[in-house]
Amino acid sequence: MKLKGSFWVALFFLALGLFGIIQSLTFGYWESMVLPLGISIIISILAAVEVARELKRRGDEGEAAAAEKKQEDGIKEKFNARRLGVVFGWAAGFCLAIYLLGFYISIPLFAFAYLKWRKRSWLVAVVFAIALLAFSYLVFSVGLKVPLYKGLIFGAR
Amino acid sequence: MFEAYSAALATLFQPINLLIMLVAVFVGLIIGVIPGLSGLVMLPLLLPFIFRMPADVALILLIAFHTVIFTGGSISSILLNIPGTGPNAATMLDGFPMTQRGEGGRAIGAAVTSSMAGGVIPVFLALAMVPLVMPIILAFGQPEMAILILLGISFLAALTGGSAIKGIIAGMAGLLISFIGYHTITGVHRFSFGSAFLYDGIELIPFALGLFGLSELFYLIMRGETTIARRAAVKMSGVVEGIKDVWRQRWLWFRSTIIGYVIGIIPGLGAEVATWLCYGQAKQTSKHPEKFGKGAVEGVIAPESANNAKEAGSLLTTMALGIPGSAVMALFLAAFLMVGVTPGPAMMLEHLPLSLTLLLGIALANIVGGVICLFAAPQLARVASVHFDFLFPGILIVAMIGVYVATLSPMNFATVLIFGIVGLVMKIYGYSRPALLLGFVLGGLFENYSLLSIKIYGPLFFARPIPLTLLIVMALLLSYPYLKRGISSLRRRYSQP
Repeated sequence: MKLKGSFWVALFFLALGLFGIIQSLTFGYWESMVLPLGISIIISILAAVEVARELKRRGDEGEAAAAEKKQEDGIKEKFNARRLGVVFGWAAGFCLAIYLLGFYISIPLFAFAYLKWRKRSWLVAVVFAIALLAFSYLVFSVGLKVPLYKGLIFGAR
Repeated sequence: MFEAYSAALATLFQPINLLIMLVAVFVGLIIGVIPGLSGLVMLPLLLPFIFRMPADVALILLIAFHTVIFTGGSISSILLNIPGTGPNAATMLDGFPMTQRGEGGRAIGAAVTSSMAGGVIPVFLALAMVPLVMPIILAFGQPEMAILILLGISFLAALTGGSAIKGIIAGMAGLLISFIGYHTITGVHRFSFGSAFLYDGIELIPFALGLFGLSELFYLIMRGETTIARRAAVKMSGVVEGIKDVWRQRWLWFRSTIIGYVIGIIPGLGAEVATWLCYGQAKQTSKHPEKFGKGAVEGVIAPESANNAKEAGSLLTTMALGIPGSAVMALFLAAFLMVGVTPGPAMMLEHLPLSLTLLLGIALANIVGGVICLFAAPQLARVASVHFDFLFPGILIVAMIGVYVATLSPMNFATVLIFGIVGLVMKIYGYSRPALLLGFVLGGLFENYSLLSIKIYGPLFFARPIPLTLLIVMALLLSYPYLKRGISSLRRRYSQP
């Protein structure tokens, strides 16, 4: 019996609910405790029901199991971990670059690197990177007078 | 009273005010189209500029800017499957499938027309019904508000996502996340693990941007989409068809407009509640509910009517009672004070012409914004045809700038990334993201109303006529699929020979 993603997601919510219960009990005052505790209990109960349903589905044979397998195949088709890892890496890398280098360096750097990775021509990548930088600068720094983050290395505001 | 109306119209149609309105509408539409840049992000940036302006010019600028943001936001929801603003999320469910089917123009025509008409009619309702709405507002005390918030979350839980149980789990998780940080009543730090970053709780903008915007980008790239919409050609004939759709569905539009207006009047309930409630009633009253989520034009008309309809009601409550109807209206409250106008009953007496000018300003801004959108729809539609190679960095950059501008903390990039993954997992496994968002947005209010209710009325605070009625509606709503299934099963059993 192999447990699939939907089971683990339900288990995550169960863990979240139980964690909420344990944490809530440490808050001291009833005003701080009552709603987090009540809501955590509801989450735990409902998530436990979901976990039990998932386990029951795994045990089923025949038509129900076939329908379940079909649904799982659909989810598997949607969930491509490798592609997700790559795109998350790009997004996380961009965020890290902003944090270290600030917006004005990270924006053209990210746009250029991403387009080159997507096998776009040098000209298109350079023009797009400059256009995005110009847009960001003109709209936010000049137009809206919002100083953008300069990054940890180059002296953040 | 007649003099006040005349003065309001004269003020509104002064050339400088018309010019300011035109500029504000144009900028508001563009901001609305750009995902992540909502009124909540942009309005605070405008506040420093209104200090030296006359009150009427400053407030017309703000109200015109804010009024059309939802109209512009519907375009990104329909063409990009990314809500331009939070309340446009409901429009995505059917707007984007219409775009994928090559009916983007029709969806935009329907969205813009219902937004425009939905924004105009409630203004006249607000002007006419001031004496009637006051008792309704005053009847909603803390217990009613607490239960009303639960009802809003239940609607989302039942109507979006895989199952009602998963939906409730998501809504409750949203409430739990909203409790992170400093508890103002007791001073206790909850779920913050000693981290200074979490002391103030999770910020709304990075949370919502991650949950919807980034997770959608991840989803599209993960599935190997090269462009967001391959068949995004928008023709004027499609836009005209969308306008006709609103006429064909005029009763749905009218119902949604009235619901949006009434929800706008009730303080504290945002446009999200109005749009999802209207989406739900559109689905439940439709002759073909199975088409919802697959590109039903009613699924575009209902939420778009509601989100613009809400504004007149929301502004009325803010001006008449000094109680902001939404987070944006709280910013308006600050703006009123900045230009020397104190909101509340006194405003309706001392600044009646200004109050009427602002209500009429909503109507005019909706008309101007709607007309611009209708004619610019084919041009705006091109956004959806741009190759994803360009959209991904473009959207990510604007979103991250928006997060920084809204929070002034680069640490919030981590929040966006985390909730981007959370949103993706929830989308794939059928947990309602809108319920999570609504729980998060209304969590603070829910806690305040509940605690006050317990202190004033005791633990059985809900044992009052209005909360009990709302609880019965909630129970029926959540049990409806199971009751329906049970009744069908009984019918099958007894119909067999």
